[in-house]
Amino acid sequence: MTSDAARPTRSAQGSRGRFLALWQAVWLIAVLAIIVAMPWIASAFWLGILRSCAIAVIGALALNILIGYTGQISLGHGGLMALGAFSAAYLTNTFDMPFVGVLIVASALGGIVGLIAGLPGVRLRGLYLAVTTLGVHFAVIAGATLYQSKVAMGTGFRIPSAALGPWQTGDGRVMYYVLMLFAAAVTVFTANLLRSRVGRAWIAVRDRDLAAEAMGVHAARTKVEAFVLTSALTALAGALLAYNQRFVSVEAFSFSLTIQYLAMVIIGGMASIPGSILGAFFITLLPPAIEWLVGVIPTPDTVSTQLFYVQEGLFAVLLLVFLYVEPRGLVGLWPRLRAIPSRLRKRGRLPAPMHP
Amino acid sequence: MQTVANVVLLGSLYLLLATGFVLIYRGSRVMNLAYGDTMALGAYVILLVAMASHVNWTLAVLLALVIGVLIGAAMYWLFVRPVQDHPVYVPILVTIALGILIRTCISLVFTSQNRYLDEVLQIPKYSVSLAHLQINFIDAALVGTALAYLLVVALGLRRTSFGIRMEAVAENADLAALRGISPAGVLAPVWGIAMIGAVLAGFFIGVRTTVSPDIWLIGLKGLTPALVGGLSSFRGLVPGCLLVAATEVLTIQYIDPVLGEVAPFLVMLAVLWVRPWGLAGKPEQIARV
Repeated sequence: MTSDAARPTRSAQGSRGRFLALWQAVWLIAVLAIIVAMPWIASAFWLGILRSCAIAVIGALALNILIGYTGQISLGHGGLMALGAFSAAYLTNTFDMPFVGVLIVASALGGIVGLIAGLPGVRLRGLYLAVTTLGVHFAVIAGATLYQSKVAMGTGFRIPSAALGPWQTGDGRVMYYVLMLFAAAVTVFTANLLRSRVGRAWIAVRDRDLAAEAMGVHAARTKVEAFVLTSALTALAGALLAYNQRFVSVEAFSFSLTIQYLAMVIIGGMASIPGSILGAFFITLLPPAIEWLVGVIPTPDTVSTQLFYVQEGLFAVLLLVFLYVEPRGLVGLWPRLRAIPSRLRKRGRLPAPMHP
Repeated sequence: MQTVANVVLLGSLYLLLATGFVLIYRGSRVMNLAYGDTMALGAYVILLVAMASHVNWTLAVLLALVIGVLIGAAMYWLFVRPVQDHPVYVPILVTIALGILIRTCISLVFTSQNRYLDEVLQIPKYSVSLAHLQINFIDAALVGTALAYLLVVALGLRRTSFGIRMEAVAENADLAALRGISPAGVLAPVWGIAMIGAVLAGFFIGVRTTVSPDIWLIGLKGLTPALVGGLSSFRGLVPGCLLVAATEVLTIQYIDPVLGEVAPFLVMLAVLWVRPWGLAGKPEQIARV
């Protein structure tokens, strides 16, 4: 129950529990059917965006483990994704390593870099992990820039299409299923991990590290574990990103990528798996939606020429609004909406939103 | 000789930024990641004042400093004060979001093209020859201002009653409030005073090179010497700034410009590994988990 502390419990609904479970099953099947049918519904453009969503889900879950469940913050998410993507570029271009091998090595590298870089910061209380990860971001980006300018004449690297033995994924549709499978696997893995001894230790350390230590949890080791797992999963997302784009270039991994992932976690919902998924889809779908809106609605010229800054500004506004008004994120809006009828009846006030 | 001069000049720029950064951290225990953007904002405020009023450049800078102080205090009062007691990542995210908002506003008003403050302000170009070295008036002013700012801030905290009140708030805000000190009433001016360093840094960058929304990255590099020196101590700032600036200048010159750009972060990582409390800090200042 610890992981769901922010949400109302199912048992609170009493006898309707079974009925809801049936509806949940219906919902799950409907969502699965839509996901499976998507390649036949969506155009190539939107299918590409959905593939990005699947990768974003992995990255957002990884970051939520750190922020939501251990109360730490990483500002190096973009750098760690670059690490995964450039490992993929290096391994495929130099060793012709197959897809699965690349993913394993890239994740392992991410974990190792996370361990080396995070070890001093993760053990220190306060803001130090934020600054070390910021440093790691710039260090990785510099390394990637150097590698790119020396080996690829500054342009970038081509990545072969993902393949498992004889099965190729040259088609965008097949890659869509592959990425959705990875996103689903990481979701299930994270959900199960959070219910295990490891996940409960993270939450205990987040809530009160002294109390956790008194219960026999090694607080420092627990924090390092969480950061290593976050880094490994982020690097995995980066490697998948490389295979999805079939091209890796350092320009794609700026600090604003980190901000996008932070926005996914905060806007979607801290310490919530549905929140991470919701946030990943929301933030990935937002830029094309804005671009479309700017094309439809008449806007001043400066908005369309400065579109990048406008999009970033919108992320920032959303980030602030959610931090101040609804720190539980989009998933927190649902109980709030559901409370409206009873609130109207009672004319009482909602309890103030709390940080999980 | 030129290299040494470059190190001192870059170090002075970092000193302006790092002093303001340490002041904010020391007072409110918040790491202000919008600091680089407030620096860019300072440069643009000077630009705006100069373009709107055609006053003498010293007056324009002074006016911009006043505006900057008000912006800094307002930033604390409106955005940071409500989340100060929240988990550590909340104020960080708030300052990041504020920084992006500042950048967006700047780019919407001024577009992202390069501006040259020295042309707009029509700053006279004096220089003095001293032992084979051309000393530019603006360069000398940069070094002098940075040292003066550090001295005023560091001594002000120790010698004035306002400084002592700030230290009391930093030590324990609740106890200070019991003694009749309003924590927010102290910290809003502190954030304002910290903006002086940002506006001055923006001014010197704008005069010596160019102004664009992207100079926020230079401001972000300005926080590395603060960590190298020891996040909450002023004593480590001068060596910290010189170390960071020297590494950056030498790396650009002898190894690789790309690597030089991130050298400050590498120095910071190295120091955090070996001596997380910084050059001048004490190990007790750091709470280990």
